[in-house]
Amino acid sequence: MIIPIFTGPPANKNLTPLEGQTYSLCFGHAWPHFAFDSDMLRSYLPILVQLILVSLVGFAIIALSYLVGKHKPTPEKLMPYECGVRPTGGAHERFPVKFYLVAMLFILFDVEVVFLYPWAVIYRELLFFGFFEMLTFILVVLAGYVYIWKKGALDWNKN
Amino acid sequence: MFNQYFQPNDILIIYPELLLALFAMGVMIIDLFLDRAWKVLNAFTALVGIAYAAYALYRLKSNALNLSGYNHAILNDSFAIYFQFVFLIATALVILISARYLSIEGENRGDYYALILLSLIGMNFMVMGIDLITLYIALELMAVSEYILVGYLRTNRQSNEAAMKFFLLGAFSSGILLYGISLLYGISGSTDLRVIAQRLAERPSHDPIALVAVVTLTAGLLFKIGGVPFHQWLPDAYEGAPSTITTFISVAPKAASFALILRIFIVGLKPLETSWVPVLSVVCVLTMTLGNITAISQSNIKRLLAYSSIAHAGYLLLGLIAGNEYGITGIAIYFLVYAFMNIGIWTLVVAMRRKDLIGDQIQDMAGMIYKNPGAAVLMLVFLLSLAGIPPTAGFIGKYYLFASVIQTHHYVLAVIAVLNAAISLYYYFRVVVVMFMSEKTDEEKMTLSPGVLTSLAVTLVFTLLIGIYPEPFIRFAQNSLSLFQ
Repeated sequence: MIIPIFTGPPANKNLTPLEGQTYSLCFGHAWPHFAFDSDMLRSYLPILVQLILVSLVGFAIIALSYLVGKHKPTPEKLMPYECGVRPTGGAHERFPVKFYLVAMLFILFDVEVVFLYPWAVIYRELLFFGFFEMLTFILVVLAGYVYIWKKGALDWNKN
Repeated sequence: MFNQYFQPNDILIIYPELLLALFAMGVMIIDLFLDRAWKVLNAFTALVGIAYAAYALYRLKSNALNLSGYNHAILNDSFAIYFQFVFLIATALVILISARYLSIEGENRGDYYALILLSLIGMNFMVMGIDLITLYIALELMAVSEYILVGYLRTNRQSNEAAMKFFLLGAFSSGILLYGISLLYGISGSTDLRVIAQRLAERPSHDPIALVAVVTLTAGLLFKIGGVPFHQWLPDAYEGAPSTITTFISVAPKAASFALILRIFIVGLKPLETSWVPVLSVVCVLTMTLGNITAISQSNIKRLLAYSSIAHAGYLLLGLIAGNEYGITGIAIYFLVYAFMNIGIWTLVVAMRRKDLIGDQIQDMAGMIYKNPGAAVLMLVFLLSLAGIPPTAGFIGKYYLFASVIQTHHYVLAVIAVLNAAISLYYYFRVVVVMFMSEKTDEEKMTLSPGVLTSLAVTLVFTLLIGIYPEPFIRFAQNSLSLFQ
C-alpha cells in the first residue's frame, strides 16, 4: 500500500522510473510502491485519504472555533444544558433497569428496519426472491416479538 | 424464484440447519404456552428437531456431497458432515440429561433448548464454512449462545461470574482472531481459504506480515479450545456453568473449534507450515503438562474435569502438528470417542445433583460403590477411557494421535504425551479411590431420570464398542480426510 505521508517528497512526474519499481499516480504525482503493494490495497487509497481529510476537518472546526470565537462565559452559559430549564438534582441518578430492556428491544427492531430499507430500495431487482426472503426474515423477528410480548417485557408495570 | 444471488443448491446444503433454526424458534414459542408441569416437552421438541436434522444430514451425505453454496462460502464435504454428526450426537445426549437437572435448579425454560440448538447451528456452519467471514460469524453464533447458557442460572452468583469472565475473555480473543483474519485478507485480497493458501504460497517464506497473521490467528483460536496460555477462563467457566452446559461446552463447541482450526491451518495456512508447527508444538507441550499437573491438586470434580479437558486439547494438538492423514483421522476419531466418554462422565456428575447437594466435590462421591454400584462402575469405565486404557475407546483415540507424531518423527512430543497420559492416570484414579475405598457419608442414592439412564446406556455402549471393535468407526472418521482435497 502506498502511504504518501511516509514516503517523503513526491517524485517528479518526469522522473525516469527505477527498474523493477512500480509507481501509481495520485494527486498528479507518481508514487513508488512499497511493502504492502497490491492492486487490492491500492483500491483502498481513497478511504485512507478520506480518513485523513475527515480528521483534519474535524480538528480544524474545533480549533477554529476555539481560536477565532469570542469567549464571554456567564453562569447561565456554564450550566449543564437541560432543554433550557434550570437543572435540578445530581447528574448521577439511579434509574430503573427497565430502561435497559427497552433499549435492547429497540435495537433489535431497529436492526430489522436497517435490513428492510436496502431491500425496499432494490425491490424491483430482487422480485419474488427478495419478497419471500424478506417475509422469512420478518417472520423470524415476529417470533421474537411474540416471545417478548408473552414474557411481559413490553409491560412497563410488570416487575 | 432463483436468481444470480441465490441458487437452489444453497437451500439444499443448509437444509439441516434450516430445520434446526425452525425447531429452535418452535421450542421458544411452544414454551410460552406450556404449563410448568409440561416443560419437559421442550426437551422432546428439541430432540425431534435434532432427529430431523440428522436424517436430513444423512440424505445430504448421499445427495449433495462436495457441493458448495452461497458463492463458495460454504462447502458440504465429508469432513463437514462427519463433524456435524458428532455435534448432533453430543447435543442430543446433553438434551437428554438436561430436563431433570433444570427442574432441580428451577430454571426449566424453553429458551435453554433454543439456545443449544442455535449454538448447534453455529457449529455446523463452522465446519462447513470455507470463507473466513462465514467462519467468524458461525463462531460468534456458537459463542454468544454459549455465553448466555453459561450464565443460565440467573440467581446463582457463580454462574453469573463464569458467564461474565467467559464473555469478556471470549470477546477479547475474538478481537485478536479478527485482527489475524484482516491481516490475511490484507495479504491475499480474499477471504476464501483456498485462495489465501495460493497467495501465501506465492509470498516469500519468512514474511513478517504473514507471521503476525499466523500468531494472532493462533492466539484467537487457542483461546476457544483452552490451549495454554489462553486457558484461564476454562476452569472457572466449567465450574460456574450449569453442569449440563459444562457437558455441552466441553465436547461440542470444542470439537467445532478444533474443526475450525483444522480447516484454517490445513487448508488456508498450509504454505506457512514451517512457522506454525514450532509454535503449536510448544503450546501443545505446555497445554498437556499444565492441564495434567494442575488437575492433580483439584478437590472439585468439575474443576478436575476442566483441567483434564485442557490436557485433552493438548493431546489433540498432536494430530494437527503431525498434519498427516493419521493425525487428522486421529483428531476426528478422538472427538467421536471424547463425545461419548466425556458426556458419560459428566452425566454422572449431573446426576449427583440433588435438591440438598450440589455434588461437585470429589468427596461427595465417597462410598459410591456401596450406594450406587452401577454408577460407580460406569464412572470407572469412563475414567479408564479418559486415561486411554484398552479396551476402552479412549485408547483408540490416543493411539492414533500418538502414532501420528511418531510417523512425522516428532519423537520428543510423543514421549512427553505418553508421560502426561501416565500423570493423568494418577488423578483419575484418585476419584476411583474415593468412590471405592472411602466410607459413605450418607444413605441417599442418586436420582437417575430416564434421560440420564438413556444417556448413560448410549455412552457406555459406544465407549466399549469403539474400544473393542473400532474398525467401522475409524472408517467413519476417515471421512474427515476430505480436508486434504
